[in-house]
Amino acid sequence: MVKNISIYGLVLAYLLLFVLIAVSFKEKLKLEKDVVVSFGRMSLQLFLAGFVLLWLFRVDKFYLNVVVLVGMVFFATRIVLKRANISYTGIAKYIFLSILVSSLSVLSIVVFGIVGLSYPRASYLIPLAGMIIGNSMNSTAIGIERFFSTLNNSKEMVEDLLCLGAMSEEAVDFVKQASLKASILPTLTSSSGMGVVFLPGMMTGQVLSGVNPENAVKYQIAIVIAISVAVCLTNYIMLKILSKKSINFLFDRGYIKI
Amino acid sequence: MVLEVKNLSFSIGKRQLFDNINFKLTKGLTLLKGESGSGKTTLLRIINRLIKPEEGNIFFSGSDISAVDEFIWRSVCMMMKQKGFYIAETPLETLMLPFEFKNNRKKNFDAKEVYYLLSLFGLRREILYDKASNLSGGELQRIAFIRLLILKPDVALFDEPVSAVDNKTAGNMLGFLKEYCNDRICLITSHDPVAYSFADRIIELKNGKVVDG
Repeated sequence: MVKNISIYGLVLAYLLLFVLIAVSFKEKLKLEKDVVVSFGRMSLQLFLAGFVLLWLFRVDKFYLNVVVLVGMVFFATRIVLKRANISYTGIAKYIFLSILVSSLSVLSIVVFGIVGLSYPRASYLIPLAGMIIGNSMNSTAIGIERFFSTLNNSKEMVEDLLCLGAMSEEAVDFVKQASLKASILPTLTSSSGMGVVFLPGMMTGQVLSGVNPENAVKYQIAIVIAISVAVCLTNYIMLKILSKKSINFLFDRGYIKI
Repeated sequence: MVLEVKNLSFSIGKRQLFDNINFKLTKGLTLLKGESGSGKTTLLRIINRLIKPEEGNIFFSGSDISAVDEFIWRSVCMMMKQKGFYIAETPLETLMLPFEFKNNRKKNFDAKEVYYLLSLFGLRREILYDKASNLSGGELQRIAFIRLLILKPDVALFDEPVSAVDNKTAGNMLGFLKEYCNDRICLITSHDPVAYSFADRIIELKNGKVVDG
C-alpha cells in the first residue's frame, strides 16, 4: 500500500514553489502572481477531480461514463481551439469528431482487448481516457496550428498547384503532410526517451501504489502505443477533413488571410 | 477552339480595372501587353478562375466556363504564374506531381520530352535530381515553364514566363512556345520586347479596355 502524504508533506511541496517565485522575482519575470493563481487553480481542480472520480467510481454507470468521456472531448476541443487561436465557426465540429472517433475506438481496444475487461469499469475507463484524450488534444493543437500557419505561408504554392488542375485536397496535400508529421513527432520523441530519460507518470504511479513493476511496464507499453495511435488517427482524420474542405471554405471563413 | 471574353468588368477598390471588355482568342500565341498595373495578371487569373469577375462571362468553344467545376476548368486551362511556384524535393518530383492529380490522370509523363525541353532551354539533365531549393530563379522559371508545357492543356496562360532568363534562352523558350501553340490557345504576358516577334497576335490592355496592339 502506498504511503499517504501528510498535510505537512503537502505544505512542504507548496513551499517548493517559493523557488519558482524567487527566480521570477530576481529575474523580474513578473510571473509571481501567475504562479500563485496557476497552482491555486491546479490544486482546486485536482481536489475537485478527486471527489468527482471517487463518486464516479462508486456509482459506475455505463451511461454516466459515456457522458464523462464526451464531456472530456468537448473540453479538449475548446482547449485546442483556444490554444491554436482559431475561431469556433465551422471548424469545432471537425476537431470534436476527430478526437471522439479516434480516442474512443482506441480506448475500446485497450479496455476490452488489451486489458480484457468485460464491462468498462469507470476506474479503468476514465484514467485511460484521460491519457488518450489529453495527448490527442495536445497533438491536435500542434497539428491544427501548423496546418493553418503553413497554409498561410504557402498560399502562393497552393495557388500554383490549383493553376495546374489540382483539387483543393491535392493542392494542400503538402501542408497536410507537414502538419501530420509535426503533430506525431512529439509523441514519438517522448516514447523513445521513456525508461532512459524519464519514467512515465502512469508507471511511476502504479509502482508507487504497489503494483508489480512487470505489470506496470506492460500497462505503460500498451498505453503509450494506444496514445501514439490515437494521436496519429485524430490528426489524420482532422487534417483529411480540413484538406477536403474546399479552398474557398478556408478563404471565406478567414482561415487563410489574403 | 475559341475562348471568348464577353462584357467583362472588374475593379479593385474604387479603381475600375476592366470596363466591359470583349475579345476572342483562337489557336496560336497571343501576347497581352500593357503598362505595369494595367491588370494583365488579373485578367489571366480571371480566365483561370482564381478570381471571379464582377460582371461578364467567358465562353470556351461556346460553353460558359462558369457552368463547369472550377477545378476541372483549371485542368483544361492552366496557368504558369509569375512567381511562387510549388517546389517538391527535386525538380523531377516537381514536374511529375501534377500528373498525380485526379483531373490529370489521363495524361502521361514523357521523360524523353522533358530531356529534350531541358536541353533546349539550356538546363542539364542532372538538374532533375538536384535539391529543388538550390535552384536559381531562372532555373526554377524554366522548370515551371516545362511543367506546364508537358501537361498540354487546351488553354495555356503564361504570366511573364521569360522574365528571369537571358535573351538567348528566352528566344528558345518563345520559339518552342510558338510551335506548341499551333494546337492550343495560348495567352502570354511579357514586358520583354523579344517576345513580340514570336506572337501570332498582340493585344493590349489600355484604359480598362482590350485593343489590338
